[in-house]
Amino acid sequence: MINNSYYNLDKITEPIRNVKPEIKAIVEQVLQLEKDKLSQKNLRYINDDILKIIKENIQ
Amino acid sequence: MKINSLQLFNFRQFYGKTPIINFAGGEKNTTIIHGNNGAGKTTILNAFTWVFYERFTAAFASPSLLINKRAINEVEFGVGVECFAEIIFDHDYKSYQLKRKCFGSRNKENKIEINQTQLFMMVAGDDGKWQHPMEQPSDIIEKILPKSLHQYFFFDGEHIDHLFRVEERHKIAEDTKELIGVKVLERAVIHLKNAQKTLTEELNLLGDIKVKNLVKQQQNQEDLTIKLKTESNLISQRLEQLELDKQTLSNQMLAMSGIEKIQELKQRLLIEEKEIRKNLITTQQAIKKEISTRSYLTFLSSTMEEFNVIIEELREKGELPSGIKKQFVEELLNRNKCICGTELHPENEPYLQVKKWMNKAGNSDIEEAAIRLEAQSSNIQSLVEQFWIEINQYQQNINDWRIQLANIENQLDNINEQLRQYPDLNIQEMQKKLDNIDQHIRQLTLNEGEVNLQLDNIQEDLINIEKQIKKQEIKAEKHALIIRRIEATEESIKCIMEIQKRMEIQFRLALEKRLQEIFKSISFTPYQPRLNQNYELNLIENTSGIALSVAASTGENQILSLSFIGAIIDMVRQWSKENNLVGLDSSKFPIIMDSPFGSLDEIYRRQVAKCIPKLANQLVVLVTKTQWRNEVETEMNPYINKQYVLVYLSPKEDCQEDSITLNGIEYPLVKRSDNQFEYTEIMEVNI
Repeated sequence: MINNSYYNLDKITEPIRNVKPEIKAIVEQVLQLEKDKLSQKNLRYINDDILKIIKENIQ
Repeated sequence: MKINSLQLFNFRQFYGKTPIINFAGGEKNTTIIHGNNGAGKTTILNAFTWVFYERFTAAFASPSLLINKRAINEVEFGVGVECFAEIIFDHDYKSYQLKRKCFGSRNKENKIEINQTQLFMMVAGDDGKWQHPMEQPSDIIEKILPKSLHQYFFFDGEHIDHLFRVEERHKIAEDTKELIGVKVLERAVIHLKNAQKTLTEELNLLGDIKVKNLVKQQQNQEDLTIKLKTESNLISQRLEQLELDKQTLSNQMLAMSGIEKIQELKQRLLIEEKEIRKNLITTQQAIKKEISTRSYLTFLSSTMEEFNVIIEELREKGELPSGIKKQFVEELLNRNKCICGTELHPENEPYLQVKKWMNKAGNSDIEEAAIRLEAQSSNIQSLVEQFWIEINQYQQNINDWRIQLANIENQLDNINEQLRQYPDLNIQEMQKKLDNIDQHIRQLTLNEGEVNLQLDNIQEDLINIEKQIKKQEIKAEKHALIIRRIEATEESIKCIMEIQKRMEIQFRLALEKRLQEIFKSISFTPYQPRLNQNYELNLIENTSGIALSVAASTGENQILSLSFIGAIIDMVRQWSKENNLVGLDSSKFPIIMDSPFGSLDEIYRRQVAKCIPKLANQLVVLVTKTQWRNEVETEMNPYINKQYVLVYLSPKEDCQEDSITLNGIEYPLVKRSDNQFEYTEIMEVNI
């Protein structure tokens, strides 16, 4: 198992926790979308979908 | 993912349906499958890769000959034989049944033709009911264990070192990035940048905001309005004063002896003048009203004429009013009898003749409408005449009043002239004063008109400016919103890039450490694996204090590869547990290894055997009798929960039979076949 003394996984995702809530929402939704699209090997309409995420979160 | 079982049907060496191979999981996570060369170990490994990804490993010879030879030879030419492999696995509290099958048949040339494979999936959730999944089976597999990474979980131990050949290195870096989710981050940044570009274009399309300038214009016009209103008030006051002065002077003159009569006449004329002007204005307004409400009637004349001509023509032809009505003909046809008593039946001659009248007969509705229109049209004609009479009367009145007005003005001029020339100097003087006042009033009235016109124009301007300001304000709101969106996108990109930076550095360093730990636990060499920033793996010797690359042997490369796979699985497992936003959805991984001890000597065999059950959550090892040495068995024994033997049945008459003793019981490895075909049977070992 990993020795956490030299490795802290929390540090990696720290930037998400430190941003404003609307930025956190955009980042989380965009990453989820990218993950779904990556597994489907389907990139159709991704630019539109991401634009939609931004517009929905910043109104 | 936890693989529960595998079952094969007519798949390569396996004739008919095999018993279900159940795999160990949990504390004792290891399943051993024994088999001699050619018995089907590689086939079992490839059954996994075929079902999941329709792929085969490099060592799998003639992948086109998937269907069992005996099964296909037992049927006639052209008859299809089914072949399938079925895996049941659990993932994320759901059970999956995954089955890939194909059909093959022999053609007349005795060649085997295989059709396209089909993949079937059933899923059971908490309720235990098996159902078809909502998504494509391949998409579901891709989420659980991506195709591009399968070689880390299903592999041939003898060929494992090829993972780290130079040409494969780039791929490893890519695969690792995909495993930990860097690819997701990279794509997110690219697509967010695209979104940012689109937002900037939206901003450019919106154009500049001009509110400031407009507000300044508005202020200027408002200032001017105040100034002009003050001016207008002053003029009004001045005019009132002048009118008063004029009235006073007129009264004084009225009281002067000698000119009383002239003054009285003048006063009367002035009153008349006022009256006529009032009449003129009222009449002009009346004309305007008449034109706006009734002038359209004058344009109807030509249409009315046309209508009258048409009606007249119809009358002349006798079609209006028509002698016979459609309704009447219809009734005759319906009751099947003419008024003359002739029977009328569809398609008989009299029926057809009466029916012809339908086209000639008139419609009573149309006739009624025509009569109504005719009556209205004659009414309209009289309204037009009435309109012109009234307008002419108004015009006549206006002309009369204008003549009267000119007459009065002449008389007033004469009176004024008389007063100017009057022998009494006082009167002359007063008339001059009156003339001055009149001139002054004229001048001021003109000025007042000018100022009022200016005020009207400014008012219109102000309304326009206000509208523009409102438009610009809406535009400004949109502008601000787009700017906020662009900034949010920028911040999101920064955030993701920071995560990516941290991930690439920290994850790689941790992976390197873990890799070094595993390698050290297996290898007796002082070498140390290093992972550079491109995820390229090198073996370094550092005993002299200077890091030098080592030309690793096949065995060392094999250990290095195993260590790397172990480290990757360990790290990804940990990473997925703590973070499901970018990494894989799985936190449990199986390893299926064919011949893991290929080129290793005794010490390494022992070390590898000791190490591999700990690398993954679930381990399936396929071994030959020669690889299953004492030291291997001893090290792996604590983890073994299931064991199977692949029994090879040979059609060769003098075949050398072989067997293996497991837990004190002898199991056949090679047996004589009772027919002319070679095939393999699966036996479970009692534990």
